[in-house]
Amino acid sequence: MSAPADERASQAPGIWRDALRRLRGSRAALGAASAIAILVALAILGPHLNPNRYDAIDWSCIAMPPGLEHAHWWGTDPLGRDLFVRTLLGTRISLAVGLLATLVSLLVGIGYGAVAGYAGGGVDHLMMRVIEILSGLPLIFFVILLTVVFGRSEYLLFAAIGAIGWLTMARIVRGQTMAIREREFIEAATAAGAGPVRILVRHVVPNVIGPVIVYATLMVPQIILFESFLSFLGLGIQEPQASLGTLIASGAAEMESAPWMLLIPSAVLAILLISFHVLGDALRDALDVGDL
Amino acid sequence: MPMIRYLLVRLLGALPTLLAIVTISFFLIRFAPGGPFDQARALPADVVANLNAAYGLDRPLWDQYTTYLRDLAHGDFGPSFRYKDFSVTELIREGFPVSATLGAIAIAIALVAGVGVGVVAALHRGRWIDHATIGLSVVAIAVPSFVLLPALGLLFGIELHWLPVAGWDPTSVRDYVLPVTTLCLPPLAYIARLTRASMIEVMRSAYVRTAFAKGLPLRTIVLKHALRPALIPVASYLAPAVAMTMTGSLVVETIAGLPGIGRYLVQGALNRDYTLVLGMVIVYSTLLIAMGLVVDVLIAALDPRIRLEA
Amino acid sequence: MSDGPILAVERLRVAYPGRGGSIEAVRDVSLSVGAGECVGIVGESGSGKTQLCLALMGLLPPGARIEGAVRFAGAPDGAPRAVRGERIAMVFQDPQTALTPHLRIGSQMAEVLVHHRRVPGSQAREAARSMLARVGIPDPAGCLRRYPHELSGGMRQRVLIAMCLLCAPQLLIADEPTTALDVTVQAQVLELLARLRREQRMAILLVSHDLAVVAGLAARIVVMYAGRVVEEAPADALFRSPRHPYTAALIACAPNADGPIPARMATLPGQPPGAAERFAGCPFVARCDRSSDRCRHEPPAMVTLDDGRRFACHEPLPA
Repeated sequence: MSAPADERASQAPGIWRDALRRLRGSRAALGAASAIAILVALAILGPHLNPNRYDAIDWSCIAMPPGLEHAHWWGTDPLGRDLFVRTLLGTRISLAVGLLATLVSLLVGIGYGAVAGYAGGGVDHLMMRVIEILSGLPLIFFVILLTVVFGRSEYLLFAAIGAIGWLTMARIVRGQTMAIREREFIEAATAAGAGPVRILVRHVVPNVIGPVIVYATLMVPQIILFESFLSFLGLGIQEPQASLGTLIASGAAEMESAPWMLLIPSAVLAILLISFHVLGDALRDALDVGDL
Repeated sequence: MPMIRYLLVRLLGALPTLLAIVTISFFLIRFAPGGPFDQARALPADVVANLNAAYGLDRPLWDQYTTYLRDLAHGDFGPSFRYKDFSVTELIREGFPVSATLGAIAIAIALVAGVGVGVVAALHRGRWIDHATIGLSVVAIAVPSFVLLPALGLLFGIELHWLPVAGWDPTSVRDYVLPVTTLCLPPLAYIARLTRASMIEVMRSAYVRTAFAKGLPLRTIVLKHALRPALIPVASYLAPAVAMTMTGSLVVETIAGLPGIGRYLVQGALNRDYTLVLGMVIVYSTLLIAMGLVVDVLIAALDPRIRLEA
Repeated sequence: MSDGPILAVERLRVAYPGRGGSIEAVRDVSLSVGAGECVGIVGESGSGKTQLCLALMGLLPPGARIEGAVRFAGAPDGAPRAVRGERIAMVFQDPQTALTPHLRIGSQMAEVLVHHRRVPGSQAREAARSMLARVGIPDPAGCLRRYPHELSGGMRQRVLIAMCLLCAPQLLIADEPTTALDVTVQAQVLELLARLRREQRMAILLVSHDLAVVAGLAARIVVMYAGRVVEEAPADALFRSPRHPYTAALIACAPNADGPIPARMATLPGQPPGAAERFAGCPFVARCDRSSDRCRHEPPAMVTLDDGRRFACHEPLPA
């Protein structure tokens, strides 16, 4: 019976209520959250609001600047494809791969870090050694090898990127777990006969979730940026699909002749990234996480 | 000398890590599908077989691995598979100074400017200068270098004719400006954010309050009492940042046409230029491990409570 | 200098404006400290003592709104902020964190004199060394070369006190100077403060939650509750016949060093009100056993007696 331990751990909802209240009070956080919500809604609904298809080539409107003609509101690219639809579709894909990779690294990182931090001693030493070795390797090296294996399936590729991007997450969770392990409610739970798995799931994981969420909000934009770098290398999302990264990469090539091709997706990316950063910062303050 | 002992122990301890990194990389790239001689136009099977024999790729993998390690111990990274007339050692020896120079300048600027901006923002927390810093830093992190460098080139090179857009003359300072700017902005922004956050934390600490109560001027309080502890997170960030920046940026070097080593890692991995990739991984990992050691010494210097214990 | 008070605080309010009303940390506090006098301030944690001290030093965080007047006779324009660290100094509660961790004691002490007195560093270090000797540090020269983490809590508090005294201030504000220390060390630090007050003829504003700490040193005691002054009296008179029920409760709770230790300590039930709370009447009403209907609706006014005593209570204990 671990009733007393459960009672003490239930201070957690109070922390969340406080955090939520502080978050609601922050105008920046509200602005960022609504910007993300609007972009998500646009990414999902937007392409249906426009008669053009993302891969339809319109020979009558090659590299057309933004305007109302033929409903090419945000202009077209040199193939005459509609940029409004392509940008919003790209936003959808960028968000999806960012969230996917973050989610995967979250799961792996929490699991690995919690086990290492909870086990301590030799197991912890060995597990940290593995992290040290893996973080000595350049990420892009893994990613290129992964593109060879998962090249044809973008979502698998980004799930795999998440699966190698968990090192920092694991470090954070390990540190937090080690700190929590020393606290009295864990002792109480152990004394009450709770097994290690139960303690990890019921007590440790809920307590490390704060820093993890903050890190996750900062990781989503990192992955979106990383995808744009892969797009520049031609390894990211493949044509005729688009991501913000592929759009910006092809826009960068047409910077002089068709600046809107660069500016529009860049602006969307910038708004998205700034919003995630602001939200992450506000969460950090609200949850009182300290610096990550 | 305890310091020398510490450094020796740490360096010896790094060797197994490096060996593990080499081993993992070696087998990963060898088990990846494809080979160095798969090209767009398929070569006849007997030619590929001859090439494989010439480079020893037909021998058992374990055999190749031990041979590679033995050569490596003698400082020989092996021949490049794609740059046919060059050894990997030559490629890195020629390109590394270019990348390292650019990277070192960029990191130095990022460190000085980033810390300065971060401190100013922290001291004006919540005021417009703070908001501007946060906003600009996110933009600087968010703009990909393959957008920033051409945009800067368009503005300062083609429109204003102030600076050369591409081409490289190691003696001309003007050639450094655009690549260095592009390289230094993201770490600058990140360092500014780190400094701001830790500075705000430190300025709230009890010992800074004591310093205020002593009637010291703000300048002394910031520079003497607050800055050193606030730099600790920045120091931790330096290790990966230096390793990353000094091994060159594929984007910047490709667009600006610089003869650095930034492209070798990606190209080598894409082309299965096994020796070139491994050489680059070793350069990167060694830099990272060495910087990790430097950073630990630096942090111990910043905070006397930390003892260096190997 | 005249015989007037060295520090005069008039109707001081400290508030933190925020959503849903402001938080009032200090409400309408007036008090004065004469030259060379030791005044004690007593109250539970959260009664606004620390906020009051910080306001006196001009050390409140940027969000604070301050009303009322603080006049310090030692400052040219009466603002203590301009002469803090020199003529008015403050010792904080927690010596563990109050010293800069990466600077040697010598450097932290010398800079006070270098800044305020414009003396060369070597001379400042010599002054620091002799001040460390005066506060009872066994190896003062060695201590100058130490980092804070190499000293014990009691030693650190001595260092902080020595640091405050370098410029021979006219007023020392000591906010819970002994709370974080072991009991034996507490007594030593209090003794030190008493000795230094005599030697340097320095006024002390001694702040504590513990009436016993203040009792030995202060000639006059101010009792605070919920950000206000509820009673003020000469120390012996206060102990002999407290007028405010809260003071009486505090005395009942304090262990009496002279008398026998009671089998069961008296405790004051309930919690002091939060700084965000508003009261129509007396803030102590909820915990008071003498409260009347009037206490609930009408805030008690401060009653000042001829003998220098004052209290704010509708139903005071008999004199």
